[in-house]
Amino acid sequence: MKKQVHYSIKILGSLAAAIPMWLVAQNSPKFSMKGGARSVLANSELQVKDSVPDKVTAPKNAGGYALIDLGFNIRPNKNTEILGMIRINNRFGGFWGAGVTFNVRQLWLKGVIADKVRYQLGDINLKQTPFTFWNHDEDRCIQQPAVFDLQRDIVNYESFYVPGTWRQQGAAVDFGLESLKLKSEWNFRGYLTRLNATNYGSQPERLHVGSTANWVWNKKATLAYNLSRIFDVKETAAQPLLFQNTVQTLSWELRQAIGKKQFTLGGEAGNSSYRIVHDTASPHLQDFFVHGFVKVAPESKRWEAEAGYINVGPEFRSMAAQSKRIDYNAQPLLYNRYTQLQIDRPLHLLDFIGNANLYRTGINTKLMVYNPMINNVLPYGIATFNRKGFYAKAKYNIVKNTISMEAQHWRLSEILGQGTPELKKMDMTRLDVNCDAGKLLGMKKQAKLHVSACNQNTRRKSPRAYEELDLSSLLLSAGFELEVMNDIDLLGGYTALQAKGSDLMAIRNDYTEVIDFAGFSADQKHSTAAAGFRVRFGGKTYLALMYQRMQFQNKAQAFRDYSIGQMQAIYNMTF
Amino acid sequence: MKMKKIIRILPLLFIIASCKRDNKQFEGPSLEDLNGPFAMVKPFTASKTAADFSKGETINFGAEFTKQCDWTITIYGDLSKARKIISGKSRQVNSGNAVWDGTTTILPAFRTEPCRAVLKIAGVADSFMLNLGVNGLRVPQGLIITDFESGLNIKWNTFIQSGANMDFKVKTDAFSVQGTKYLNMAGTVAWDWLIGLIDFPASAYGSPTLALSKVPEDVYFNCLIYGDATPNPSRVLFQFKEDDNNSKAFEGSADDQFDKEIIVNWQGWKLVSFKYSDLIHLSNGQPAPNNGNNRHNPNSIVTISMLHLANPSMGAASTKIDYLIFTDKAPLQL
Amino acid sequence: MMKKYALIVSMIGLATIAMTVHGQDSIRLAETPGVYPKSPTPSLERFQVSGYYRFITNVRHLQEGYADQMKTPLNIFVGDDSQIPQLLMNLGGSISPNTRFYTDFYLWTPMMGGGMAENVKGLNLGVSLTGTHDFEKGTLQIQTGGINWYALTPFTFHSNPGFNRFTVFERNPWDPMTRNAMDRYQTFYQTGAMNQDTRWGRQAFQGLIMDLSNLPNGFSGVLMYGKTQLNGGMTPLPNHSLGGKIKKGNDNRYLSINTFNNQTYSDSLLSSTLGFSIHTAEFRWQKNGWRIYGETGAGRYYSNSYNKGWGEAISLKLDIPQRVLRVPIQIHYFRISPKVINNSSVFWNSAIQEGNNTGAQSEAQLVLAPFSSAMVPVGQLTNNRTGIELNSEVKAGRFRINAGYTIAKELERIASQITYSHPVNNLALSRFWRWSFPAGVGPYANLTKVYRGVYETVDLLDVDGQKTPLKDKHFNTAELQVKYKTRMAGKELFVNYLGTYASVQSFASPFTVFTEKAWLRTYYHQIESYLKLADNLAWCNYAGAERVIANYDTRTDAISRRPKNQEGYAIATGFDIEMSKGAGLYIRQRKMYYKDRSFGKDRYRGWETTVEFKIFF
Repeated sequence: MKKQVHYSIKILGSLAAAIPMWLVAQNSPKFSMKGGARSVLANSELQVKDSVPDKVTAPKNAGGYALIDLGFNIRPNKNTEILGMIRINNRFGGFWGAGVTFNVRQLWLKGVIADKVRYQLGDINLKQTPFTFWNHDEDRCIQQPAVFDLQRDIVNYESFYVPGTWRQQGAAVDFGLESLKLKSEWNFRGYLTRLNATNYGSQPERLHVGSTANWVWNKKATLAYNLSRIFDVKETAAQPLLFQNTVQTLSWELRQAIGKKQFTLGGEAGNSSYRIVHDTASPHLQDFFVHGFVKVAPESKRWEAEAGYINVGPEFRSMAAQSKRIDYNAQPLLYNRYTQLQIDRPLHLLDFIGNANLYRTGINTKLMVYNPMINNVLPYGIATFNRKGFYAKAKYNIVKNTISMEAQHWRLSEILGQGTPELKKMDMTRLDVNCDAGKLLGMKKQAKLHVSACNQNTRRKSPRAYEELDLSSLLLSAGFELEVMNDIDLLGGYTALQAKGSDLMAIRNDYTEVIDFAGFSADQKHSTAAAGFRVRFGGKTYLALMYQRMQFQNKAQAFRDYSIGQMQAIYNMTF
Repeated sequence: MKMKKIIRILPLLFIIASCKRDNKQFEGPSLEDLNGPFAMVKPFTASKTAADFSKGETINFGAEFTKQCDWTITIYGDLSKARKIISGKSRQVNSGNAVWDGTTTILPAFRTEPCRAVLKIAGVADSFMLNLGVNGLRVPQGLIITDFESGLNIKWNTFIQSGANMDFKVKTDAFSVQGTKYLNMAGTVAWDWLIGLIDFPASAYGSPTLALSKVPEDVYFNCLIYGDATPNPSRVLFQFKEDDNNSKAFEGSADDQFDKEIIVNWQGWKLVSFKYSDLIHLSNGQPAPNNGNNRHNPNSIVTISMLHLANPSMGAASTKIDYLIFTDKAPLQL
Repeated sequence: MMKKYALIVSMIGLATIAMTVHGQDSIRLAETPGVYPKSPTPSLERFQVSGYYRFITNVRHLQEGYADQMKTPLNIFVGDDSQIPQLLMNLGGSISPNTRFYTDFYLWTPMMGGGMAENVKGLNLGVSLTGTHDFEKGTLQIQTGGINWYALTPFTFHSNPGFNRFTVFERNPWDPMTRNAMDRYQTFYQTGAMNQDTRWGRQAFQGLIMDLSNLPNGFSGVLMYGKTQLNGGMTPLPNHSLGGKIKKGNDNRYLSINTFNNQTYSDSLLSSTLGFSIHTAEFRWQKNGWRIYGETGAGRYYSNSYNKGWGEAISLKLDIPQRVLRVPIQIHYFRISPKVINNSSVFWNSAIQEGNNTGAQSEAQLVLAPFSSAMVPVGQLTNNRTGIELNSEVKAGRFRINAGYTIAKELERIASQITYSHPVNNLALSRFWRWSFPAGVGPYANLTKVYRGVYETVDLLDVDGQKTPLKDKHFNTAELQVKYKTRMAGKELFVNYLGTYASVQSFASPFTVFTEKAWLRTYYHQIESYLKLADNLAWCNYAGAERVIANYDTRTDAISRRPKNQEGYAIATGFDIEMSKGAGLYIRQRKMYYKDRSFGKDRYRGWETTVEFKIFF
């Protein structure tokens, strides 16, 4: 007779089995240094098309800095690690100590309790699932050539972007249970972070708590429950209003090999709740979402195909997953105003690639604005609300993996119309091709080529002309890396955004409800060409000298057209 | 194996099936409301052609449009030139958003007179008109110090400087803003800031102190002041003298005095209102400490002094004043 | 909502319903936890901290002095107003053998009683990054970031190293420690030079320096882009300096083409520019002890109000070996046009006033070098001057003799002033004005403070209505340094003498003019001795005397109606104590006296004590 459910866990006392991989080995030094150093010099020149001579804006601009991030990594024992990192920043032109600032860049502690439970405190990078807690890279629709990636890498470093994660301040723990006989493992992760401290007046203490409990069976099936909850703590402010946003999901994945192919059936589904307690004007937004996909790839991993479906309700709110990296209301540091009238300089595609001050480092509990020219289809990533439809993705490597191609096509529509029962339809097609030409042609030196494109279209047909809209945008990039001498590369690239058409953008109140619409029309082209040299000193250290020229054209308001040429020298070290 | 998979998927289907969305047609305001063509569904109407506001009557307006729009109803007093403006953004005009209770938006105040109500919609060239009448004037609630309709009260104390071209009189003419009379204060005094003053003792109103609420945040003082385009802007100084020590009189060394100095730098009539709790004590125009209990006690006011001041070196000064009234919990709605 | 929770819980229950456990299971750490990154990040292989702690205090008492200083005759100062901090740490690390970063970091406590609030931290040279890359045909060296001390060529980017004719009684803030107290003086005697720190002969540069070396056919090159301390500042205007060189040859024989250019904007619309350019060719040839070295080229200064075109800059040196004339001699011919200016080079600017412009509202200076016609030490060049220098250094037994002589003439009559220094009490006098570098101070507003020194200005009277001199200026300067080593009571003793005899007059003269025919005559005598008392103890002594005499063609005093007639003396003693390895205590006690017999207020008399405690680590 089989025994019924008697499940027990015996804990192994073996330390050797429990030492985590990521903690430093027993004989590592107690103290070491980590961090990075960087020097940037830049010279820029602005040219404006306005017929009125600009007698206010300085046409040329120079600046730069040299900084060191010194991280003191301390291991008081084999189970604990502490990192405190300071930044010393020296502005270009500041002699004898002028223009120097000191900051604390990060501070965290991590360790293992009783060889069972892993924890981290302080500045930590966290993520869960794309619908609960995720850092989408939605506005970087396409890959950029290496010549622009140099700037993007700096932005990622400054913003603590590790793919999918957000830099938070709080605590996290995780541990797991394993049953060899049942071929199962259960993992638990939990976190608590502080988003806002109270000001003892109008602003209460705002926390973000979450957890994931997953079950993995025989490495073939995974089922997880995910919870992400942002909430205000009662009685921590002099006003009674309390913000709450709760998202719960179930995610699953089934993997099965059939013949020589590996099939994966997966997805995630869940719901959300969003409201402000005690605020009589606040609605209680509740909605659900479903995401399902099937993926197939051969054993050789030479290609992969995926098809999926999403249905994200119009009132689905998950602020930890719908926060954006780019703040479109921020001003660039370079030439933030121009022309004789000193109007705000409209942002250019290159600003989004290389301007770290436009990027946020944490989640935002308010719905952020987006730029429909950059991404109108999924501006908040796959967790964008009011979307349903299908998508297909494919990856393919050919010629001994020297050429890799990735393609995606999304065919989506709104679930609920905005201002009209008619629904917007959205298409997005992406293609990325990378070619390791050096390997392909049997060259001794590196040579790489890259081409990417992303086309988006948003349209709405209606018997009423004022409801019709059609907005298209095309993002293109192409580039190369050519090793001309040992570790010296010639880099070149071109990237462009072309947007034309019109859309009606929702204007939302503080509760994210649509209260009005604003017309948006565009006939713009942003293009950038860049070329330069990079000397690789080994590891992650390089010197890059490059020139880039960006052009902004707005056919609707030609007097605002401008171009900026910039010469940069970047010396970057990471350690 | 397959059963296990089914077992795992089924609960999810339950979850999905149990989720339902609200049956909304669309979110946000209707685009048709915002962009569609305009037309009147129901004409512009008024609930009565004339009202006696002194009896608490009101006039309700009505209209309906094909879409939400910005509308404005302006009521013109044919004789007084007074104006009342009611505005909103909606598809309907009704008793919930368009009621006239006899108040005035742009002075002078209404009289018993014929009026016109004109409805205008933003972006629409046409306007719609109704003829109305005012049979009785609204009587604002509050403690009226004076509206000068009975001239100068002999129980007041008046002092007028012996300057040049002094004109400190109650008048009836085209400048009247409320009722038919107002006080004119004008003259040239080359040696002193003071042109003239009037003391309004509480005893002139039948009690040793003014019958006001003891909550200073609830007490508002209001008056109508006319600004003249002279090179020498007038200043009207109100002094509210309290009896904190219950001596039946104001004693500067033991009682509080709260002041308000108004620099009349506008053109035309203006309703000036201020909350009693916002007042401070002034000495020669500068904040100064009080000598009483340092609390605002409107119910202890024994005298109000009104002074007309002007810079003696800048020539003639002129202003007009009318309708001095205390109201409770809100400023005066004329 | 409850229904959903129930479904989830029941589902988990269903999933586990058939499980049984046999054998051992475990709690172990999850493979894919929530915190990131998963793997340890690499750490720095080599990290070093070095530096020094230097405590210095200076007490001065004046029995007589200038009016401002006599308000507080006793002056106690803790710290170094040469702007060298107390604790200076050099932090540096290597990520790989060929890349390095470093920064300095200083702490300073003024000890004025204000506690933590008055303490200062900061960087001195700033953050610098370096890298070296060897590629097939050469080596590329990069320096970027904060201040790097660099030298290109003497006329383009360099500072004057001089001929090592100086006294070493007063210590410099950057003087290193030596193992024994006498090693410093032994080195000075032996080599004629001191151990100098990295800035010797170099200028401060911030920006990017790319150095290509070991190129084929003996080529090498340098490219510099950035700012010097004279066109520094964090304004977004694109003020910059750009320079470089291409060189072919080796250290014994080479030819290089060099350039250095500076451009500064004084308005945001970039309509008003000023700057300078200098392009030169530098060469060196040496064989059998003969050496020819030189740099020639052209330069110019330009601004909205000044554009006189290009001028010549020539420096030619011939070293004659000892076997030819029994003494080694260097003959140096130089000629630098008044149109040439480069305040980052070895020559001073004495011709273009706006090139040395001061700040708008302060009496502080931008360029810490004398303007006008300066009486300079042998080896120091200025523009608007041509001349010949002779230098020689010989050993005669225990004597080391180092002598130099300059005959020079100004090319154009520009400045109606002559400047000169007071070497005998130079450092003590510079401490009369702490921290800043004021110009036009002193009882007659003719003293100007520079870095660790002061120079004085005298006006010429034979000028026209525009204050242009009516006669050319001719300069003669002779310097003699004699170093002697002996023993006294069995202990090592070094004695050094340094004498300077200079004149400036309106006529050419083969020798220094010692009569009233010279506008100005200066005679400086300095003698110092260093006696070893123990390995870790040296007794130091100094005596100095100076005379400065002007003639009646210079400005006279309104009361005495006589021209400058100055005398200054100093006698000083002190100890160098090496307290332990890397720690030294240095005490100096000076008695000073100075008087101008004609200008009655120009006098001071007093003493000064300096105690310095320095530890290197």
